[in-house]
Amino acid sequence: MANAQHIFATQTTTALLDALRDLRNEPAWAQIESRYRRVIAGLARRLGAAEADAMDIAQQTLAEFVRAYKDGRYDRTKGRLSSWILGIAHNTTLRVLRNQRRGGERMDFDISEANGEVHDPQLRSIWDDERDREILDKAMTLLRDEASLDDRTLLAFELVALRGVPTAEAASQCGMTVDQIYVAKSRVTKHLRTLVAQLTEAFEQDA
Amino acid sequence: MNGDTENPVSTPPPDCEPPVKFGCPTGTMFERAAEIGHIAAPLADHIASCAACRELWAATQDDAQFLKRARSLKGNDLPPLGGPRIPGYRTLGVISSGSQGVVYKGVQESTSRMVAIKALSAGHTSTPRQRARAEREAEIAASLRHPSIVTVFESRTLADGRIVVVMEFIDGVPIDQWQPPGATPTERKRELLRVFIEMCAGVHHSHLSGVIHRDLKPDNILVTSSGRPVVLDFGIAKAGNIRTTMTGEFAGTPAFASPEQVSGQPDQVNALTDVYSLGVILYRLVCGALPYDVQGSIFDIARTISEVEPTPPNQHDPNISNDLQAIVLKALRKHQPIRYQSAAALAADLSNYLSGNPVSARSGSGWYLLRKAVAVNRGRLIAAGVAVALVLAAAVLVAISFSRASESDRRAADQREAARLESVRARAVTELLRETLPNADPARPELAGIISNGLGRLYVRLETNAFSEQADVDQALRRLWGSVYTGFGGGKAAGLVEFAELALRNGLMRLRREQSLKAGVSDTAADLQRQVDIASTMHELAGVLLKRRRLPEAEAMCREAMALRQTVIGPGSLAAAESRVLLTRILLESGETVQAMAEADAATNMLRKIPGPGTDATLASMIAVKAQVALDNGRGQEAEPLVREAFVRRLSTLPTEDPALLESVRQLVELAEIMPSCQTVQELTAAIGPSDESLAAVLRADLPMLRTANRTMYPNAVRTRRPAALARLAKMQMCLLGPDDLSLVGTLMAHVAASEREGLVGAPTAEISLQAAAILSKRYGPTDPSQLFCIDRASTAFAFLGPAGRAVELGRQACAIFDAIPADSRDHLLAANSRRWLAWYLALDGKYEESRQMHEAAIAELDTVVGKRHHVVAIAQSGLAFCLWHLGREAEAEATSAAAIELAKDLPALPFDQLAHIRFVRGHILCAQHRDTEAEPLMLQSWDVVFRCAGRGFVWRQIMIEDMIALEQRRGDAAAAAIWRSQDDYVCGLEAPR
Repeated sequence: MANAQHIFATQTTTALLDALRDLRNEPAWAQIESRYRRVIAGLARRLGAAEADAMDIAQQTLAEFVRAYKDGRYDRTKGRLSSWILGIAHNTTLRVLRNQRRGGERMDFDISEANGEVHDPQLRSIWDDERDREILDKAMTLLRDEASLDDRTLLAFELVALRGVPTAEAASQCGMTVDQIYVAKSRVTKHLRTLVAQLTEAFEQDA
Repeated sequence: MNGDTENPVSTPPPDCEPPVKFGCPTGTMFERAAEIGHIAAPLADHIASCAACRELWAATQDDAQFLKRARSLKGNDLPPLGGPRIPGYRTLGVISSGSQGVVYKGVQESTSRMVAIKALSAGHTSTPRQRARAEREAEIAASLRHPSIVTVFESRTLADGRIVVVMEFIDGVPIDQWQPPGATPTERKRELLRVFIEMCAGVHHSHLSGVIHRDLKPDNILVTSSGRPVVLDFGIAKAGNIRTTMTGEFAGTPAFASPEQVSGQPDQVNALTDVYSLGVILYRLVCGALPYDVQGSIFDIARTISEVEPTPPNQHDPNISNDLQAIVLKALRKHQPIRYQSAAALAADLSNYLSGNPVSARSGSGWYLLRKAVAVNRGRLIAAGVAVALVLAAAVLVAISFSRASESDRRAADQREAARLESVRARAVTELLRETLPNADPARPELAGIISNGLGRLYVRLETNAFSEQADVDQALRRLWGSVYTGFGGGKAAGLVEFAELALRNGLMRLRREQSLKAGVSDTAADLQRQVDIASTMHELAGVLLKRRRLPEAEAMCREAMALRQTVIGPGSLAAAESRVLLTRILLESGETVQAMAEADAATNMLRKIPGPGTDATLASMIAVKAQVALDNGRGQEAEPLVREAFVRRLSTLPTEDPALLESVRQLVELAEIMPSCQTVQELTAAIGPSDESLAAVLRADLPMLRTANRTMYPNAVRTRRPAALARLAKMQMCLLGPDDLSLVGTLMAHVAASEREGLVGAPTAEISLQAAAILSKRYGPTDPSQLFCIDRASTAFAFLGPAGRAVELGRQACAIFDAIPADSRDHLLAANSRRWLAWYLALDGKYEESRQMHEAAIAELDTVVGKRHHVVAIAQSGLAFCLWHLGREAEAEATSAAAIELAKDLPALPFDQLAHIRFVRGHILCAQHRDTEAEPLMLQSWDVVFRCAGRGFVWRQIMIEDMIALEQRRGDAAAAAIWRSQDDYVCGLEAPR
């Protein structure tokens, strides 16, 4: 299980921020990016941004984080990274949406306003959903690297657990018995939950 | 979403007894219950009474909650495990997954054939532009047809924006896991290389269609059970590769990536990038390891790939031959221009290796260049270098003949004639080495390596008495080796200087031993000669010691040599003067400037009294030494005439890349800086024409261009300012030596060669060749054959770039020169060949009837000289066939072109570009008869080696493109036709002048 991808993915955000003290630590930057880009884009979409804008917002937010970190403007003692990023992402999204309403008129926006904790529970809940979605995706990617799980087991799990295919039908598609399908489903669920737990902990251990 | 409770489903809870006895349900039963959300009464009762089952039930319910949440998060979004739903196909399971997406095994329902379905991750195609690009790449990939490239059946865009590519299902294993058949390790290795070569052909095929893989690695190359290699992911890899990190760096598994990929130079990612990756794969197959350590951060890896030279393969396995090692390392050159220039070239060299032929990786480009030069006397590209191995062989031969000659001449007691012969031959050897030994060039370490190997072998032979029966040859070789260091300054990449020292010291010892043995024998002449030899060996040894910067030893040795030469040969002899010149250099290196100046003055005075071209370079070097001291001390007025004289003498005797000539250019720069208004600087400024920059600035920028001969060659050339720098050098030469000076010819033709290598061929280079021809014509007369070389280059340029009319005109001029040579001294092969060239130009110009007659005349003339089975005959027949076809004599054309290609099959002397023409003509005639399957391979071979590199104005190139468009249209392949149409505007990545 302990391949490089797994190790990076389960590094805590705290450890990543420590690693970033070496500004040239590319894997750490890449991991931060991989951890947050799709979450930010998902948040922006949920707040009403179009698909292309959502990707831009994610890029702008991450770029701002890189700048702030490199300039020493990001202060870890003032709050958690996810809150900081959520704040920037929220404001960037609002700015983009407002600019669109104003027919593209440019609005000056002081990014520093956004620093600090975000207390809006609705916003936090959207963020958590997007985070969980991202974690689930990552966990499923990691799942494929599990040497103990073969393709058939994974397919069985996918069919019954995620697609809601009836067990008997899945058994015939996978060439397995119904009991084997249940075993497969249970085994993969266990692995998946372990991974999700590890990833969530890594994501949230952030101060 | 947390939860991590143990849930063993296939066995009862560990603290329960077996279910039959106590009624504990299996995990499967819990699963079923959780699925229907209801638990039957008996089971509920049991759970209530069994703590372990209660816990298990709770965990099962947790799992169910977890999965419900997972489904709600994923919604309609297909999970990454999920196969895409494509009408007409049934997805079976996951084959593999990577950063770009997931590959599923599937079945095409209508045919029941197995397919692989690759779904690109949505993230890679999230914008319309990325999507469009991915779609286009997939289309191109689908157009590739080659046994070694996976066949793509179709590509589709799904409703969720993902692009899926349906392709042939390959039941194989990655090439690095494949077990080749064979009884012995050698047989297995050969089989592995054969498969690798086959795979290279597929990669090359794709490159010809403009598709670069960019992500070649063993996982992308499967070998089937029948030993067929198949490259996966062509084009798709490129489409999927639209990802960078947020800092814009390369993000991928970089072990097989090229330096240009990891260093973020997307504009330099081309077919040679794939060649590099092939090199890494080959390395891995041959050595079982990667060429370098790819651990660490992405920065470390990028640095390693860009900078660290691969571990030589034979360090992994001493049984790896030097040839194979050279091939692997050439594919892994960091610098593109010195890498193999195509996957086909890599494959060809591997084939050479397998068949025991010489490999190009070890001989540089020399074999090819030499072969061309010898075969047709008019290659389109001038060779800047010559095969070093051949040079060494030639040097040895000259030395041997020199030595033998001097021996026989001594017997004839004609010392004077012997001395003259020695001097002439030594000069010939010197010139050969001066032109061919490369200057030290860190970018081309392989040259130093090649020479070192050669010299290493020579050293072993010398020290094991290989030449003991020919003591003179033995000594001549030792001194020749030393003279590489003494004669041409310190800049020659000759390698193994320490062995040169050993060779000279051992040689000196032999001479002295011989001298003591023969003491008392009255043979004055032999004794004198030995003394001369001892002095010469000491002189060369002093030069080697200077190179090794052991200055006090060098000075002592040099003074001894000089004294001996003064005594034995005479105080005013050239030999004594040369030793004084060497002494000056040693003193200067030692910082003894005043003493050095005194010696320089003495040497200059001595040399001025010994006129002749042989002393020019030596004299110039002394004058340059004095000039440098004056410049260093800011004495511009004193420096000006010295700088000028040294420059003029060197211009008139040395080739354009000689370090001594470049030293003079550098001195000019310094002079122009401290004395911008002096006469020499003013004259030269006017000569090179208007410029925004000072002469000093212009020449300073030119220096590195003049120093480094073109390392690359069109069509893979890197454009530099070298042609412009050579043009300026020619202008200065014209100004200082006059417009008709013979030495100008060399500079002008060097300019032409540099331009041609960079693909800047056209009317201007042709005109420069003609300018050189005019100088020769003025000096030696309008029909002198010396200008043929220049005329040929000009006519070839016009032939390949148009207008063909000018080529015809020059072809007639060349024929007239041959006709003016009396028949009994004319070389009839060259004369007939010249007529054949004219005939070809006429064909290009559309003058088919005259061309036909000229071809027939050439063939008749050739028949009398070389008979019917000669490669020039094959070429002429081919040209004739082309004319016959266009004159409507189709049956004759068909027969003649078929005969030409048949003849060409077993003529090893046939140069490949001429073979390409023969194939083209055959292909053209077959194509016109709609015999497409026969025509196509011929056309493609011609295109690959020659036509794609020719200019747009080259008539046959245009005809070939039209033929191929028609062929593809007949076949109904509009995409392929479009690719051919697009070739019309594309000349090997370089914009040739229209």
